[in-house]
Amino acid sequence: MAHWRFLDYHTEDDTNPFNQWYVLQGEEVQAAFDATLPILGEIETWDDPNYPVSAFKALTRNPRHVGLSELIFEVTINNRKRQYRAIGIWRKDQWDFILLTGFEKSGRSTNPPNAFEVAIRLRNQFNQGRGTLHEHV
Amino acid sequence: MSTFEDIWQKLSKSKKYREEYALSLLKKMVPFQIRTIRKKQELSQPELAEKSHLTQGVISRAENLDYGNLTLNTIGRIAGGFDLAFIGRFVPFSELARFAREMSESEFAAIPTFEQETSLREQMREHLARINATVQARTVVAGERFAEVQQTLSNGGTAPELGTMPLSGSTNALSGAIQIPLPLEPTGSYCRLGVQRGIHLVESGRRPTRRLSKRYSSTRKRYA
Repeated sequence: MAHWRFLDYHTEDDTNPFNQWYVLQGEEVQAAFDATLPILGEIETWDDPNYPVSAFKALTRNPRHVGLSELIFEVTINNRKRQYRAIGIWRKDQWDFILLTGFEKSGRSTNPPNAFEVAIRLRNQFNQGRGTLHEHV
Repeated sequence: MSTFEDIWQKLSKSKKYREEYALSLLKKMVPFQIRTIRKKQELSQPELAEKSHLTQGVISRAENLDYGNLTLNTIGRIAGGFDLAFIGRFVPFSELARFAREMSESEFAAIPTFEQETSLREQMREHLARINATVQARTVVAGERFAEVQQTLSNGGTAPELGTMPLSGSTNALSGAIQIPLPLEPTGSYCRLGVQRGIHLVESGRRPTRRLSKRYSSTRKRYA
């Protein structure tokens, strides 16, 4: 039995922003993301400094990003390593992670460029009690 | 949580997806196991590095879920550091899907080291030896008792009491089996209602008293 559950956030008009990002990605990216979840779900502690989990990062540096976390995974496409991240809300006390959206990270830039603005907007909506949560499949 | 069918449906998307999924899971599984077992054995990265004859940097990379360039040599050395073995094998996708669904951190954490296995095997061997000794002792006692009864009967004596019922018997001249005829119906103080249900009674020529016969037949009806 996995320790962690992964949930999709649906907005009030029942759109699933994470899935909107996911379906736009190539099959290599989708497969790498799908293979990351069962592993992360089985790791009990994500934030133990003695046993670090490279695929997880809680955002703390930028005050606007506090409350958001990232799931990190890499894909090799045409012999080039590319890093992708899913942004979401990590609810440690409830043993779940709410997937909001995703992006490709290249240096300091992101693709799509407004990924964090979207994530912050969705996080605020969720914190206001708007929208619904669904099991990620 | 994804079911086996959910995973299977995704694997059916395309060969490209399947290949990438399997590769990605393979890359992550080894670091995941190394981290889990290191935690279970309460080792720091430098401690595991020393036991594996590697550097701390190699252990750190080996635990990175996205590193993906671990050599078999490094994995083998880390396995040696844990006092465990590592085997890689080819499997069908159904096994991969089942594995992705059912693997657990606790399962990997419970893998015993060679020393733990040796100790377990020793405990198991001692336990089995104790069971064998008990069974053997009981067989000897039963054999001695059987020989004693056989000797008594062949000397024309009466067999010792079995339970509370004194029995007389004889040895069959042909087969050597002991024959102990039981009364057709229990008599006297041996007539304990409800106790005789399991005994197969043999005609012995002794007839019970009328009163007991009546009680016994009503009991027999009840248990028929």
